[in-house]
Amino acid sequence: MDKIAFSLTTSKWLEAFKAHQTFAINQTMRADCPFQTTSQEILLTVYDCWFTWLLALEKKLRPEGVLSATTKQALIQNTTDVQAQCLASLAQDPLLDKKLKLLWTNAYKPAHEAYIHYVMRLEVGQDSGVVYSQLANQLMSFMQHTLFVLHEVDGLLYNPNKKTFISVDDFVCDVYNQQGKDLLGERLRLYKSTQAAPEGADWELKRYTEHHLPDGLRAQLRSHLPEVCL
Amino acid sequence: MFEEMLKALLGFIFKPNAAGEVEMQIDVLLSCITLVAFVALYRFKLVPLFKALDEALPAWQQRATKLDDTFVTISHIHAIVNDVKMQVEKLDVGREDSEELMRELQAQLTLAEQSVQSISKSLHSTTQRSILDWLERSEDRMADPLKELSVIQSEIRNLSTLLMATSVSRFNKPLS
Repeated sequence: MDKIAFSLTTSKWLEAFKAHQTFAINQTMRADCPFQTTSQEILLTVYDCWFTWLLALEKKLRPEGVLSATTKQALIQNTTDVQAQCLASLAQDPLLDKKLKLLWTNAYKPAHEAYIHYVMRLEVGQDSGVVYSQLANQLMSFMQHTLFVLHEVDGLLYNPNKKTFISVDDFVCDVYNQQGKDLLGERLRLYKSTQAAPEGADWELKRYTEHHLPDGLRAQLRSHLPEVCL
Repeated sequence: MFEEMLKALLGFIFKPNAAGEVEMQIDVLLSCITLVAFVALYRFKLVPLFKALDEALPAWQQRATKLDDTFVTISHIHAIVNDVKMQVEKLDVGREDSEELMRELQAQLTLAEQSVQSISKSLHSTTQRSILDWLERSEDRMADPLKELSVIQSEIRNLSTLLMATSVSRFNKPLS
């Protein structure tokens, strides 16, 4: 891909990322399910960190026509560092609710690792524009997933009267299909082990995907929550 | 008691007359025989019969109830058989309709095949003409076909990545 075409592509993705950020922040301010200030701050920080990463990715890939092994290695390192950057940024604000921050960090971590794994699976020698598009596309899906996870955590800690829920989205299905990793089960175990969810809670499954739930994931979910209607 | 009764009976049957002779009263004898016969009949035949009847009565009653049930079942079966018979008659009519429909479909299929054949013939010749025109027009540009192919591939790649970026609204799923 020539540089002009590459720039066109990256600009479009950066625009899309910011548009998605606006959408997500608007969702956290909805009257029917307003998020806690800490949750909103977390979301802002996450979007900022990943936007910086996306800009760095553009810089890294622009001079190269195809993805080299060195660039890929650097990319994996950068992606791994994003989590530490997010946490460092959040640690600077002492007013944030520690309980929420801790639960969210633990719930977010497996998804972040799944994204790193996605970067690791990139094929060396691919066109840099295609690599950028693949990563940005998956990142958008990951950001959407982050919003849903934050909604769960916020609801569990601050809306105890509402029905407890767990969300299934495109990212969860993709990660299960590509890596065999059950993000839903990991979150459920976390919520139950930390007593974030009341014991004997009546769980609801929120579906944010039009895709067919993978059979394995469906079976896992049924073993965790037999009462949930799939 | 039996002896007394026997004596009384004998007394009735044999009576001394005025001359001091014993006379047998035939009519009384016959009456006694009849009475004894009746008693014996009652004791040895009728009483066992009544007993047997008493014992057999509940079984008869049960059988009678079963018989009633059987009649009801038979009437149900009769109704069902009638129903099945009517449905079979209807089925026969439906089968005739289906056969006619199949014949019509087959006729239409033949027509459709003919139409498709004529359309594909005309389309084929049009496509062939367009390809030949395109080849003639691009003869000069295709001096280096490999380079041309790589340009086309690159263009397609650019377009697909741009298309991916413009369809991100799929990620804007509102919270429920």
